[in-house]
Order: sequence, then structure tokens, then C-alpha cells
Amino acid sequence: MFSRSGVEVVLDLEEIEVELLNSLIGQILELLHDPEQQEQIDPLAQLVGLDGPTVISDDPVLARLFPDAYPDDEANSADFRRFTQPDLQKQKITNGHVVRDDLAIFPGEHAIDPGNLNAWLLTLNDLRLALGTRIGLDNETEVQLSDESLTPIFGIYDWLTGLQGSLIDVIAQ
Amino acid sequence: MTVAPAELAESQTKIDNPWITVVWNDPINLMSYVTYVFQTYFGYDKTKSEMLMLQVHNAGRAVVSAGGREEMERDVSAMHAYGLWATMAKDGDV
Repeated sequence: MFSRSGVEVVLDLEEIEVELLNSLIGQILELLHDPEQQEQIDPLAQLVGLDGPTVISDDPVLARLFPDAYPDDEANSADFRRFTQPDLQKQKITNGHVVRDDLAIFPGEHAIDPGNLNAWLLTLNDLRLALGTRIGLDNETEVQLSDESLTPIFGIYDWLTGLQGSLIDVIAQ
Repeated sequence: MTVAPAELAESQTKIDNPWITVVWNDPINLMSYVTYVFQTYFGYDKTKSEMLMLQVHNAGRAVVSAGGREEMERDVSAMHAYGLWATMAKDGDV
């Protein structure tokens, strides 16, 4: 968990927690099509800057991370998505890399560079949105709560909630 | 397109802030996080940020900013960057 020690923000993580975070971040980077994790992006599409998607993703997690901006207006939502989603994806990927680089010195208790705390906050939020969506929290359905195979994911989700909550407590003071 | 005088008078009142950014409730984002985002991004004080967060939580949505279309597209995109579920609309459409 995060805590304040004098002027520093410190994080205490056990080895299994570091492994878990690394694994989850790896998964979300893959989902976000991090070029370092996946195939190269079409260079021409990058050059003209129109490489963004125009329709909301079939994947519920990506649909939650990148929702339509204009409800009931496909054309404007498509334009908005085309111009904003590539940058948002890049930001999320950069944040994930910052956190993964910080994790290299863990386990144990270490101070986190104040300039990296926002990346931590946003990455932990992305992980909670991804997991929460996968276990059906976004639908507020209770059907999946009885699915025993999801029990470990609920445990991880609760742990992430506690971790993000501790960070907010520290930085929102 | 010709605008009838009556419509013109009505639209004139909204000419300064014709678009709005709406944040919708979701069961995942922490209340403390949503408050923090409103404080950090919009620069609202804690009281206003908490009030807006509670409005999102209790009423299902809240109008968090108003302005020109490009400005609101920036706000909606920023909310998406924070992971909040935000949309935009012409004031009066929501």
C-alpha cells in the first residue's frame, strides 16, 4: 500500500504483489496494442495521423476505456474517436511503462518519484476498469458473482481498489 | 438555413456555452478518485468537486463543464484519459 513518509510517498509491496502488477500491466499493454508488445503499426497510417479507429470496440474493456463521446451520434463519435483514441492509447501505454519501470526496484518499501505518481494513479485505475469490466461489475449484474472461477479475480480487484485508494488518500491530502 | 426570430432569441442565451460535458455514474471508479479528477483537471475546489461527484453517484450523471464544442471535446477526452465515462451534448439536449 501507499503511505506518506515525511515529504515522500512510499509504496510497500511484497514479491507476489509485484509479480501480479507486472502481469496485469503486461496484459493491459497487450490489449492497448503497445507496439513493443505487438506488431508494428502501419507507418503510412501513423504518418497521416488517421490511424485511430472509428467504431467502439467489440471488446468490453476497450469499449469502457474508450467510450463514444456523442451518444446516439455515430458520425461525430467516429470523428472524435479517430482523433483522440490514438493519443489516449499512447498515454495509457506510457503510464504502464512508467509503473513497470518503477516496479523494477521492488519488492520492499521504496519511495516513488512524485513525477510518476499520476502514471501510477491512472494505471491502477485502468487495471481496475479492465478487471471490473471483465467480472461484470459494469453491468451491475449479480449473476457472475456466483461464478466460483471468478473468485480469485474479485480478490485481485479488491486488492487493486485498496492500493489505488491508499494512493488517493496520500496525494489528495 | 434561416432562423426564426423566436428561435434566435432562445439560442442567444446559450451562445456562450452551447455545449456541455456530462460524466456518467459507473460502479468501478472510486468516489474519492472522481472527486480528485474534478479537482485536478477542472481546478474546482473540494466542495464543488464532491458535490458534482455525489450528483454523478446519486442522479446517475452530472454536467461538469460547459463551453464551445472544441473545448468540450478536450474535456471529454481528458475525462476518458482519467477513465471516467464522459459524453458531450448540446446544452438542452440532455
